[in-house]
Parts: sequence; structure tokens; C-alpha cells
Amino acid sequence: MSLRDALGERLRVLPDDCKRYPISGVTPKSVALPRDGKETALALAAATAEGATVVVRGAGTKSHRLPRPRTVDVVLDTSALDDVMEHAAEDLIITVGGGTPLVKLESVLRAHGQFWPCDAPFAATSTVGGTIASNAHGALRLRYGPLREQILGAKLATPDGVLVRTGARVVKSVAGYDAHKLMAGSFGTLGVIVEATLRVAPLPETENIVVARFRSPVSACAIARAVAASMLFPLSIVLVDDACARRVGALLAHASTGSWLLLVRCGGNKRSVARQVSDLKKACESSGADAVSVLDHAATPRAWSDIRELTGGAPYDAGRFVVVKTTSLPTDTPAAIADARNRWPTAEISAQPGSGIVYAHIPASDLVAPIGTNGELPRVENLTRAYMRAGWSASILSGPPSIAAAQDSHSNTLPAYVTAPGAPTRLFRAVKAALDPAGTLDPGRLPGGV
Amino acid sequence: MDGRFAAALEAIVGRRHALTTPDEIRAYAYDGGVDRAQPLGVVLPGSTEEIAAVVRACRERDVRFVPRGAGTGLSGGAIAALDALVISTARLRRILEIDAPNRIAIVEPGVVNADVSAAAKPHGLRYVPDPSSMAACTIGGNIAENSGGLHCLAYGVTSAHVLGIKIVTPDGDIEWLGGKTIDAPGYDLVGVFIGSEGTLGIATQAVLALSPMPESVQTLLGVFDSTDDATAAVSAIIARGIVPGALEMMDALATSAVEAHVGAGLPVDAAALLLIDIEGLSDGLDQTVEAVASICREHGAREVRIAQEGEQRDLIWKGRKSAFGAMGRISPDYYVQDGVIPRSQLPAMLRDVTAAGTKHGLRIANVFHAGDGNLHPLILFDKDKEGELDRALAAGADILEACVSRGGSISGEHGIGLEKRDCMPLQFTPDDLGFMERLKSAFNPDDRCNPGKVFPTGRRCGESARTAQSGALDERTAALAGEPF
Repeated sequence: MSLRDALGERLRVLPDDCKRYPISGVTPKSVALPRDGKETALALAAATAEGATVVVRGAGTKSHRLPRPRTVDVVLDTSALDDVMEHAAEDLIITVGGGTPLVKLESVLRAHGQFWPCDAPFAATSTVGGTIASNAHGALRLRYGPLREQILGAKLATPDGVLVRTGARVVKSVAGYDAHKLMAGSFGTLGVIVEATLRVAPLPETENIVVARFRSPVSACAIARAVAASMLFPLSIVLVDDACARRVGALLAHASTGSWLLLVRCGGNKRSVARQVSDLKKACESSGADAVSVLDHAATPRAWSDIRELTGGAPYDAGRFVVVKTTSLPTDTPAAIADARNRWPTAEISAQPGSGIVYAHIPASDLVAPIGTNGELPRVENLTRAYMRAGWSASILSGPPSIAAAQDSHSNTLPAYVTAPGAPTRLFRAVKAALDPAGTLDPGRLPGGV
Repeated sequence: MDGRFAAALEAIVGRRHALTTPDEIRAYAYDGGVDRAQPLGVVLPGSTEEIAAVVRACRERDVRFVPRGAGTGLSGGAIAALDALVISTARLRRILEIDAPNRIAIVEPGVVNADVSAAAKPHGLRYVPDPSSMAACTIGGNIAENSGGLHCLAYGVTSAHVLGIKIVTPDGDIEWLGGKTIDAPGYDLVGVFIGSEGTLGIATQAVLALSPMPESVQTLLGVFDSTDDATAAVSAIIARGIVPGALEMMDALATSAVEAHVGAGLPVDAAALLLIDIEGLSDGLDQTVEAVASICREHGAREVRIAQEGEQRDLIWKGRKSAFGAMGRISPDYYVQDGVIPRSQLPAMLRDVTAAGTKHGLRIANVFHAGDGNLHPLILFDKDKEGELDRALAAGADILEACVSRGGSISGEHGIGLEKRDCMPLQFTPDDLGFMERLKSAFNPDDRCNPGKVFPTGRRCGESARTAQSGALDERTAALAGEPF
């Protein structure tokens, strides 16, 4: 069966249609819009039979995250896979289509006093499948653990057009391999998430955000580490410089030039939150914070919906900013911040200091300009070597097309990603070859050319 | 074992650590489950490199091998089926590093689970997964089985607490999956390696995530005259938005055994007990405890006891943790099942369990992780009575079928191994299993590493456990005597 037979009018080939689905600057030759899992599987089988390459796309908010593909035959848009199959509220489980928007998921859950403990960025448009595929876990990871643990099971469409289930629709199962967890961070290169069964959690009765202003990120990071290891058990911890802070309405009044804001989100019942807030205030004040304030329960949801966007560079126009994410040990976070500040003096910086994550949002004009003259990016050329030496990882989350183009033609410029030394690329290749032997699903764009 | 192969192994691990005589290897023929098989031999390597060398020696001679930790598993995962060599991790038992500021521990696979928390305690940290066998089971086995425990309801099972694993692949290569830092670009192979029951390679080091200890813990004991009321209370607690640290249930038969065994002061005339840990900051804890207590009362609890930290609380949990071992007080033998259902199905499922017992003429005690919907029916039988073992296994298969038909899973934490491989088709289609087999082939293409496990052989569910030599249950009972399950 051809792609056309499999999808009929839901295969778009007009240039105007295809232009709306660019992948790292490359326009696909066609766009597939399957209505359900079965049609998704048929489309994949047809693509594999035709030797076509397929890039899976949810809302497209992170489609540019991997290096520029050589060619894209088909973009497979999952947005029609947006049903809520089952919400077993008293079992703290929900099963939704892979194309379900996060806003839809969150509104269904909120009506039952629940949430999916993954405050991924691009919340207004992102899909569940895209969030999983890009491992966009957000800052709640500190309290609730890795994104892969928030997925209990899945129905996947494989490149040969078969629908398979892994995991279960219960909170705990060790039957068979947890292949659904492998989807987290796989960018749609192993299978298409047709359905996902998610672990959900009750919304905390009360939430507050403690906002502490520090002159140095070093002391703020030290407090963050101590709090993360303490019995206060906050929901999440984010650190922003003053430029980042000014992108969050609720923080405008707290930002001051050259200072850093440590944001600790606390949840629980009223007395527990009051205690967390009081302990945090004391800890910050005694460690050099020059101002500490609290956003109350009413102010928190709005403020956090802005703060969560900082975790993936979402508020930064990809045409004007390059967003680089670095991960290191939490004790290395101050060094990673200093390195980013030194490398890119004009960057706006945010971090999750309890988890070792740093985001640098670099004005593209400061990076791209030299490409036009001699093709060099002097401020980044040693990045790979420096990061490898430190055992850090880095990846570009977004940037203008000129950056993607530079990645094509200049091997020593800003790399799409730096993996920590000794990444098991042989196993990456073996897994890819086993699950997508024909190389249908977006081949060649992951580390090791997988 | 062929003499040249034995010599090659001895050259790698040293003569003392290569066991080949029947006397030496007898103890490795069984785990805590129903299956048994004599291994080809046993090696106890002293390092990752030695494990890799042993695996390469196996590859050269096409010898199959089975990784083995403490041997406390319950599904035959560490049993050397198909004449395989056992590679024991027992000598790799160092805690290499407790890095408190980064909240990680780096350990070797032979480290006993409880020892990690003990080492982390001075820093106010703990390693959360706490299977009932935590005093004996080891981290390597926990990774293989994705072990749970009493506290995984609130904090997640093993896979939520492992950042990186150094492995020896089935080809004998050494690789790191994940590491000390998170979010490395590329596939996250940690999540799929954990719970793969030793079929994707051998873990030789692990980076474990440590969590802060709660400031305060209170334990509630809810006493119910009906199991339906108790299970309804479980659902109501979760529905109220409270996720306790632990939420366990015991029925009357289990309680009577526990009381005979340890005398924990539990009411033996109750139909069901709920054991609930509420933990967190001391501020606000009383309110949560009171909310849970009222939910229990609203659902017909005739009594709710609240124990602060200390002797009374320890006694309650000692009772729970000794429940499996206590079965010896009320039955010559027992067969522990492990299945999961959605919490909301608990009342109906417990009736299914009772029905399975009635159908096969056997008593079944229930003691389980109610908060997770993870049942552990203990099927009581007497192996000396003709046909009782077969009936116990048949009752177990019926219970698994009921779990699947109620939307659940055939294993919550004990694994598939040999015991349940032929039950996999209850839960998975041939396509599902084919997909998993392809994933396995990426790591273990020749099925040399822990062969014959997890995937079905074509027999009926409940039959495969019988493939073990007759008398397996004798061994098992002997092995379990005094084991702290």
C-alpha cells in the first residue's frame, strides 16, 4: 500500500502545505495527517516500503532541536491523535493520544484536582508525545523524578506498521521490557507514540514560591543544593539572572541589575507550606540573600506558568536567540554558569541548580555575525573540548536557521550536542537498527549519527 | 564443564572463585521462587574487567551465562536454565562513593540494598526503594528486577532512583548507560535496562539517586470488619489527594499467621488491616494523619490506632515484613503470587482471589501493597498431599488471568523470569512480544545472557513453573526458612 492509499487526502503534498512543517529549516516533501493509531501504522508501513524518511511532529515546538536533516520525505503530524482514552482518577492514571495538547491534558486533570508532574515548556501548544519524545521534563523533576517515570505504558506504531503495547495501565508493572521509557528523549526515531498511559499526582493543597535575591549565583546554588537535600522537599528550584527574571511578569518587581533570583516552589498542606517558606526565608537570609519575598497561593500558578517556559527557552524567539542547555553535577552548576557567562557575555541565563541544568539564551546576532566574515564562531570553538573534559553534556535547544546551516558546513562551530565522554553509541546504533532497521524514522540526527 | 573452559575461567577470576563441583554449586541451583536448575558452574569475579573477561570467554565458546545477585528473587531470574554458567556479583560489594552534595551514591552491584541507606543516613539521605528482602537483596538484582517496596507508592520504584549503570554487555564490552549527570543526549537506555531481568547485560556499577529523609513519620493501623470496606478506604485516601509513604493491607489469615510468628499486637479477629505511613515535615503532618484516620472511620473502620516513631511503629512494620515467613505457622508450604490491578478494582479482585482458592480447594492469605494495587496472594498448600502443588499453581494462574482481565499486570515487582514466561501472552500480543524480542536482540542477539527468561515457550500459564524438577518446592521451602521476606 502506498502512502497515498494509506492516507488519501490526509497526505498533503502541495508546497504551501509542506512549508508549514519545516524541520530544522528543511521543508518536507509531504505531510501525513493520520486520524488514529491504525492509520499512523499504515502510513509508517507505506513509508518504509517506499524507502521514505519520516519525521514525527507534535506541535512542532521542538522539531528544530536536532541537526538539519539531509532530507525529509514525510512529516507525520500526530495532532489528530488527541483523545483522552481513559482517566481513572481514583487510580491516578490517565491514557491519552500522543498528539494530545498539554493544555487539554492539564485541564482534564485539574478538574479532578490532579496534574501530570511534568511542567514542560511550550505549554500552550506542546503535545504529550512531543514532550515525551524530547524529554522536556521541566523543573518538577526535582521532586517527581525523571520524565520516563511519569509514563506507565504506551501504544506505539513501529516503522513496519505494527501497533504494539508496552507497560500497563496500572501504577506498577514489571512485565516485559519498559520500551515506553525508551521513548523519552528518543525524538520519534524508534516509533510513534500513539497512546501514552501517564502517572498523575494530586495537586498540592497550597503552593507558594519563595523568591530570594542573591548577588552571586554561587551562594544561590549552594542554598539550592542544601534545600534539595533537605527534608523541606520542595517541588522545584529554579535560578534566573535579572534578564531572565524580567521575562516573568511576577518577578519584575524583584529583579535588579546584576542580581540572581532563586525561586523555590513549595507545595503541601497549609501548615507544611508555611514551615517550608519560613525555613527557606531563614536559610536564604543567613546566606547572603539581600531580599526574600513570597508569592502566595493565588499568585503562584500564573507566575509558575511563566517560569516553566524558561526551562526550554520557550520565550526566546528562535530567530533571535540560540538556546544552549548544559547538564553537569549540581556542585558544578556554578562553574557551568560562569563558563556560559564567560563564553557568551550577553547571554541570559537560567538554571535548575538542584539538578545540574543550565540554560544560556544567547542573542544570535552575537554568535552568527562572524559566520558571514570568515565562517568562524570564535566564542564557541572550544566548547566541545572544554565540556568533554568536565564530563558535562550540552545541546542546542533552538536557534535561527543560520545556526543549523553553520552546523552543516563548519565542523568546529557550535555543535548540536556534546555528549558526556563514553556515551554508548554502539548500543544506540544497535537499538536503532533493531527497532527501525530500514532507517525510516528520522535517521542520522542523534549522537553517533543514529 | 570442559576442562579447558574451567581453566580459562580460573585464569580470570582465580581458582578460589571458580566453583565447579556439585557441592560447591548446589546453593546456586535455586532462588526464592519455584524453579530450580543446576548451573554448569559458578564464577565470582572481583571486578568489572573480570566480568567482561568471563563474558568474552563465554562468547568464544558459545557458553550461556546467568548474572546472579543475592538469589532472593521470586521468579527464577537468577536460575541457570539451559546449562548456563552463573556469574555472581557477590564479591563486588563496595560502596564506592556517597556524594551527599549531589545526592548520589556510587555502588557495586553486590551491595546489599539496606546498606546504601545506612551509608547515606549520616547525611540525612536515604535510598528509597525498600523491597521486603532489603536486608539481603543486592542493588544489581534490584536493577534487574526493577524492585519496588513499601515506599514506592509515594516515591517510585528502582528505575526512579538510578541515574547511571555501568554494564558488561552480552558481548563482553563495558559501557556506561547514563551517568552521574542527567539528560545526556542520545537514547536513555537506563530505563529499559532496569527491569530487563538480567537479559540485556550485567550491571557492574550503579549511580543511585539519594533522597532526603522525611522529618517525621506516623503510622496508622486501620482495623476493619470487612475487606470491601478496607479496600474502599484505600481508594478514598488516594481520591482525597493523599499519597501516603506506604499503604499496605493484610487480611485475617495473614494477620493470624503474623501474630503467631512475631506477636506484633495486631487484632486477629479483624477481617482486614490497613497499615499506613504518613511522612513529611512535622508541621501539617497531624492534619494529614487525622484526615486519613477519618477516611478509615467513614469507611467502617472499627478502630484506628496511631503510632508515633518508636517501638510500637517498628513492631507494626516488623509484622508486615515478616508476613511471608510467618506463613509457615499456618501451612506447610505456600506459593506467593504477584499481580497488579487498578486500585479501584481491589474489592472485586479480592473476591476473585477467594474464588480461585475455593475452586482449587486451597486457603489463600492476602498481604499486599494496597496503595499500588499490587497483590501478593499467598496460596497455602501441602506438598506432601497428592496434587496440592498442581492446584496451587493452577490457582496462581487463575489469579493472574483475573488481574489481566481487570486491566492489570501479571507482575508488579517479582518479575517474569522462568516462572511467568508462559503467562506473558495473557498480557501481551505476539506483536508486543516480537517488539520486545527485537529490543533484546540489540543487546543480546544470541540469547547467551540469561537465556530462556521472560519470553514464552509455548506452554500454558502456570505450567512452566512445573518444568522445574519435582521437589523444587522442597528446595524453595528450605531456602526460605528464616529469610526476611
